[in-house]
Amino acid sequence: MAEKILELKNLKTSFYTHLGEVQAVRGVSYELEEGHILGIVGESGSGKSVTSLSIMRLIDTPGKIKEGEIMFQGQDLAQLSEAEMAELRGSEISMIFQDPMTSLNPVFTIENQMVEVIRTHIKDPDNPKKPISKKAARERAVKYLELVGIPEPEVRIGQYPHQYSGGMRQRALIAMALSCEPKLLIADEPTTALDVTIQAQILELLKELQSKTGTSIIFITHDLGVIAELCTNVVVMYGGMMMEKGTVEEIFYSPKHPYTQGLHKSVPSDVVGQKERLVPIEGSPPDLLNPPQGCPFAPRCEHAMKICLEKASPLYKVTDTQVSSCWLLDEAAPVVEGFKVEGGAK
Amino acid sequence: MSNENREVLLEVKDLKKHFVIKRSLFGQPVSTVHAVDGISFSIYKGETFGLVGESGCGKSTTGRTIIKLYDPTDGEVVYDNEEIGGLSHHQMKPYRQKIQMIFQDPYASLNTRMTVTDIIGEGIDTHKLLQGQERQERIYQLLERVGLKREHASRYPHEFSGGQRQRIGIARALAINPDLIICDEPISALDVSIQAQVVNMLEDLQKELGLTYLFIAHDLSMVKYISDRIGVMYLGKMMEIASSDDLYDKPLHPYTKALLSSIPLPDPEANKKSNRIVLEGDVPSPINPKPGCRFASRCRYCEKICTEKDPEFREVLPERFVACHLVEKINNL
Repeated sequence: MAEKILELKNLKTSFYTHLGEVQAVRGVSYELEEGHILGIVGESGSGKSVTSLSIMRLIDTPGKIKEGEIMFQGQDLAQLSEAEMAELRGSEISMIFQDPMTSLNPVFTIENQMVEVIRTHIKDPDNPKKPISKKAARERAVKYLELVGIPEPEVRIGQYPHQYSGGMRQRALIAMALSCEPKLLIADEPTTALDVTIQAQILELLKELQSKTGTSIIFITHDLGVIAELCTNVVVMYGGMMMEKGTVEEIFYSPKHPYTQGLHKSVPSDVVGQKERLVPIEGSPPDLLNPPQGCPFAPRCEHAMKICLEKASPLYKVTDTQVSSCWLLDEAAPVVEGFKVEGGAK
Repeated sequence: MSNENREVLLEVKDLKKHFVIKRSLFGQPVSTVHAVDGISFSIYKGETFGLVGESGCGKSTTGRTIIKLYDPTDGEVVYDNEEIGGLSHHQMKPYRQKIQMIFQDPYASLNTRMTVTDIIGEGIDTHKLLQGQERQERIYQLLERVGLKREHASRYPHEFSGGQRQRIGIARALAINPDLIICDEPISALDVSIQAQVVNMLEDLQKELGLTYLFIAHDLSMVKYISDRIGVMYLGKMMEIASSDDLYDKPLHPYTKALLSSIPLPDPEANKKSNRIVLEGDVPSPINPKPGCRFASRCRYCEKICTEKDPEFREVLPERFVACHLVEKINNL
């Protein structure tokens, strides 16, 4: 078994607004093995982005990581000081965001921005106290732009973001994120703002880079198709909690949670000539200001039992790699140890 | 839908919409965005016609030009055998009652300072359809029809979720009994589980009220699901029109092939098996486009003729229209 690069243990993140505490992430635990691509799927407000921002420690006031551990290479990121974290960001863990235009600074050239990142994290091989020389940093930037498929990188590097198209901006951001050879890349809906043909290019690129560099990737999206295309493992989130996780085959072919099953039924099947009516999930997602006491999905779940409304389910082990948080599995499987839910197993 | 006895409700003939973005000193246009550049299609009564394409291909502009939010630069829009493209604002009024629109962004398309009653009732008032108690009853009835409650009538848009707002938008469109509804990306701002709710509702309404839809979207799997026939646009031109099953089963145009193959399927095994065609490069600019086929710069079959001459949009097989010089050669027809 490959080594775990990241392990979240019961992570809780809240935002303290004037309306009250918004419990965006309410106890999420998962791990990522080296060289894997973990997909996190969920609807808006499911806590998928806040979880990854917590890993990057980019939660600003009024938000706060309340509880839990973020183990990355043997250290708990939740306990690091801001300076120590700044050291890791960009060099060990990088992130790319949904909107490439707002993530790039419009008044600096791509060269300025890339060289800045590289010089912040990479030291001069001859003099380890100094950052790498500007010339070497530029060479490195050009190399990575070439790697992500920017045509004429020598010329393009001197241009401003507005001179790039949407797909190229996203490529430039990926180049920037990878330029310091991070161990972990977090991609937060990087293809949502792009057209399908460009999305196909970016997914192809990520797959290729992953196999070349061996970087582990956390890929956040709401598109099940993208997950099926790219990821090796999947975490399904809803209402700030993890509903189910497993390998991509398990999540797509034998989902054990009613929410995962509902998601599959609400997208049209691609079989030609066959038109089955879509089965939507009735109702709407929970309000995280007053999250439901029990399972967040219970109010919309067709199988909901009394206990579902009262108490959140523990994680049930379905196979060695698949766990699901649903009371329906109660008798079938043992409770995963170390997960803090009162009254766990029966 | 059977092919016999079908009646054309809307016919678009060689429709063009250009936006001049730069003029010379003497007012001559220098740079023109050819947003829609000569497209033709018909929509039959009671069907759903899907319009797909990437951003900037002109699909939304087409919808907006049909309803005359933009004046067409050239071409005809024939609604129920009447040419409406050239009508004045005043002459257009009776047709606005027949053609309604649902917009993409449920946050931007509802006036935040109006109550739900005012939003839905505005069209009823403009066309002087109902008054007083009858009007209020109609609004309640519409709200219930789209899955909302009576007590929602006095609330403001900010009190609703995205899916609920889209329902209000649909109720507003239905309020004046239209025949044709132009749905401009009605579900792309919604979550997956909510999308299915809205799509199912649109289908039910169509059956119940005999509505005709022009469904504009970029989510190809949803378009395939809801549409009877589909038109594929690229850079202001129509590339292919076919029934939705034919189009997905056997796309003929190289662009359609690439577009369909780039949809990631929600099925890991099928994805591994699929022969993905990844297009190189980006969509070219629609400003002062080059002559020839618009897709030529990214097409892997491109030949000399493609860069010289505009391909004609023609029927290559029964009910299948394609704009490509090489379509017979590529598909062994």
